[in-house]
Amino acid sequence: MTSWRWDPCVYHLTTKDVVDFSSQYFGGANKSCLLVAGAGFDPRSVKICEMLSEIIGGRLDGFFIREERPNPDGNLLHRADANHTGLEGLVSNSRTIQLEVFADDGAPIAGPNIVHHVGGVDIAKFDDIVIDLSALSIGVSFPLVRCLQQLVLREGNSTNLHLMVTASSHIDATITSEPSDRVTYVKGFDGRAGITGETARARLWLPQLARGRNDILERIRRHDLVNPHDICPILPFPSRNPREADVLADSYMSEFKGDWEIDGKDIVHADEYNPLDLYRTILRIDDQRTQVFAELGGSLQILSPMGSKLLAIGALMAALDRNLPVVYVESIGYSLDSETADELIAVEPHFVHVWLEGDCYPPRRC
Amino acid sequence: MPNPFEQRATEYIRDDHAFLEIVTPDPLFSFFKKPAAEGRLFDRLVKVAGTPGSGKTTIAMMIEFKRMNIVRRDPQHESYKPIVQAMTECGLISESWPTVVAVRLPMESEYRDYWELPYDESIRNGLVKSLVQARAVIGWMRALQNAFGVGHNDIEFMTHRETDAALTNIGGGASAGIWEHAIRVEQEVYDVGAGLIPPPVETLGDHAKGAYWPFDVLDQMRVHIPDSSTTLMLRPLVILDDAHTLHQSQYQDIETWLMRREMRIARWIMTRQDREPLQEILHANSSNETASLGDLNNPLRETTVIHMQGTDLKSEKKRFRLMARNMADRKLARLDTFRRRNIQGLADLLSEEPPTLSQSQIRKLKDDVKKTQHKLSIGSERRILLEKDIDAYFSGSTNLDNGEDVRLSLLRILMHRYANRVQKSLFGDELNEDPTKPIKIKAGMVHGARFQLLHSHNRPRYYGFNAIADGSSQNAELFLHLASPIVSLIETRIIRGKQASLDCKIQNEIIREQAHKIVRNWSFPESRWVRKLIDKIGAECVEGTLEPTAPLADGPNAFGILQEEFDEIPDKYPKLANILKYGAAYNAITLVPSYPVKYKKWCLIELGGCACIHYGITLSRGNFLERTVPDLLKALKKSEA
Repeated sequence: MTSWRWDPCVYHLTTKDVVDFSSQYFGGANKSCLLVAGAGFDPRSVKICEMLSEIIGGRLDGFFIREERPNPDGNLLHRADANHTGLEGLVSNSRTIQLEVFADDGAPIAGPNIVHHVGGVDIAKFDDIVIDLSALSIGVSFPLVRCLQQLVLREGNSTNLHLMVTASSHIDATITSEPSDRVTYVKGFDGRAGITGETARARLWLPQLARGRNDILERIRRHDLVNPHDICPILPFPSRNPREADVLADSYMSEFKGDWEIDGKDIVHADEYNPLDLYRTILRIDDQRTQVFAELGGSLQILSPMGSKLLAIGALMAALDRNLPVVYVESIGYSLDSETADELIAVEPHFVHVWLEGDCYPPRRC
Repeated sequence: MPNPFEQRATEYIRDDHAFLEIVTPDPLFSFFKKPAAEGRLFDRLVKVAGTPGSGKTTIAMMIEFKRMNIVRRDPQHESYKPIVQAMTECGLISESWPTVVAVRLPMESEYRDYWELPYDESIRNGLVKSLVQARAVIGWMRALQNAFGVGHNDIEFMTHRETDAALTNIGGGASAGIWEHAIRVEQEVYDVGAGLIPPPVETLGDHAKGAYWPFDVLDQMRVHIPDSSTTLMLRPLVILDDAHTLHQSQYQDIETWLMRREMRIARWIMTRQDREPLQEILHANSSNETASLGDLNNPLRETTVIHMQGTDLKSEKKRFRLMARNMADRKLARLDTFRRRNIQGLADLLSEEPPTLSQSQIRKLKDDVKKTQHKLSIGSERRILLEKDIDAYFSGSTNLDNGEDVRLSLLRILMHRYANRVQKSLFGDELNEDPTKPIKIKAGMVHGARFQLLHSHNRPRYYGFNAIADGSSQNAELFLHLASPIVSLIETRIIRGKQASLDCKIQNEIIREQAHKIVRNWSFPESRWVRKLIDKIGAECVEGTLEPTAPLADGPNAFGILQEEFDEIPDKYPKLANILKYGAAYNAITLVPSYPVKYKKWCLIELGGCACIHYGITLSRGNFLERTVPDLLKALKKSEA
């Protein structure tokens, strides 16, 4: 079995644990910390920043990202402005970048753009970098994390890299996205699957199912980048709503019965509130398939995270660990059920933390 | 096996044999035969444009060498016969041997990413061209190796430039060297584009910078097939599929490059028409081919342009019905349930026996007509005369849908028309005199009567194979999607031992439900706004259909905007132009430019087939409501549109 980069892993899955860890770790020592966060309309944008600024105070710097999409909804723009002002008010030393998500021809360019911006950050100045994924889209957050990970490793692991998120599957459900018409790899996550010789590998697609995304997932499945031999859809279980997996499976029944040809044994269940669960599951599958298909051209797992942020972190870690391709459709715009989202965010937020790179791990890992 | 109608597009079927059993070669006949006969398919750049699902990729996959080789080896196979015939007529096969080795390169993958690299434009474009050429060379050689089990040494590249520099550039004169060189170039260029952080420009190798040009050197490929001691001369063909995903500048660079006459390999570009500005889409809809052999003044004469949707509304409809029928029958043949019972045609299972209303509904309809007669003060004698007109019309008509319900509905329309054409009495006397202008019953008016019954009594209107074909906006994928639940239900009925064929009521219910689902699930750029727009068009067209006099016969299904007003949309209202562009690209609407009516030219914004069924309006084309651009903007309720 190939070794796993994040086994063991330092992580915290409850708000109390995250706050306790942050208080002890960031509060005690004289650490300088950079918070990288989305300054968007998502009501979760400021929660992590509020928590960290209270603990770290003036030693916290901010690097805020405004994802710019064409023709945004006025209400969402207003909310993003308010969140941005809130973030700037919490962090004395901050910088904000306007990140164009689409080029003028409609091609998604968030990946190369974020890499370009983050490449200019002097990470050596900071003891810790915290990436708050709560209000960042997949097309931004995945390349951002990979880029910072590469920079941290290049600098000799002297800076610690953390992922944090304000998780809420219910808030995720209040956000509806309008997909663009292009299926692409997330920048930096092609897994070298595009090399002509690589197409002979047995392809397994692991889509993370989310409500109302049937058409998007179907488009991804049919794309030349994916075109899988087998499909193992990922359903959240255990989850806050114990019937969520059943409801999702039911809403994808026509796909399951049709081209996807899914039966019960193909389904992958992953703990909705533990990203490490999905990470480990994907790696287990990868280990098994690598052995089985070793003599038959090899195996390739393709990920398509969607919906839940926590499961997306699991997919991200697996993709980083095994250099797996991640295929997605960038959102051209969003709409938000503001009333419900505001009610939900008023309840105590649910923080999750994963320590991705740094002091807590041995210097030489896989 | 799963319902093959739910496999929405044939190109996603992995098994080549299964693919070839299902795919229909009709588009080859329709769109490629003529340019092939004129010798314009392989000697110059061919651009193929169409909407998503129009069959571009299916065509490209069908003629890829591995599949072409399967069908030509077994030309007597029932499913392959028409494919072999089409390929022969298009010059792809000659005397049972392939003449072309085709490789398809999907451009929808990483090529666009090269545009974002921080290098000069010439370097970025050079990278893309190197990648395309390397992959084409690998593809051609691999196709021949897999098809004939030959080694590198059995393949020979014929070049038309035999200089040392030219041969060195492609890896030498021997195939093994050419293969290894192509592999190296692909990896080198791929790593530049796929990396998270682009390497400094000075570290790029020569090949990455565009100093690799096999397309300029290669001519034909000679392959020696050991088993049959045959030697084939094949023309390499590269198909750049989904080229619309390239950046405009990349696309133009590739297009200009591939247009060069000295290039000997065959090259096709397949693109979706929505990559073009709105005006280009309109142009595409108004002319099927923009460049022809004899058109020497045409700046595009170096190019053959094929639009996979024609312009003649009637012949297009007929052609698509035939293609859909072939496609459906091929798919049906793959379902065991149907094969075991020797059921071969979907059309035979869709009854076209006209529906009839129940006795109570007819009684109610009679009362309604009577009330209309009374309200309009139409005398009994006049009513009898109108009924005689109806009898006379149906006695000469071949349409069997002429039951009492249709006659009553038609009578109601005639009464309204009659009342409009006679002088009304000041004293409320019954009207009996002859109208100022005779009322002539036409087929459209009768259809209008049937549509009014659909809305008033839910009388089935969408049934029979042609309803599904016409509702698909001449789009193969949409046709399969629309037909899928019908096939599933028939299969269930067969398994349960019930009668296989479906009556018109069930068909109407399923087709409408599926159309509702398709419209509800639209998920493409600007779909939210497209839906708002078609809601407005649909609602007003329903109103027009239900007008008592049926002024537009079977009713409208389009808005007509004066052409000169429409032409200003891209400049004045770019957001609206974008909405229309995506609506047209995804078959939600069809744009019919320069449509002549009343000595004026109109641009019709027609609802697509599924949208027509969704709203319950006619699938016939041509009737429209005169509107203006502000009407469209009002529908969007957004001033910035």
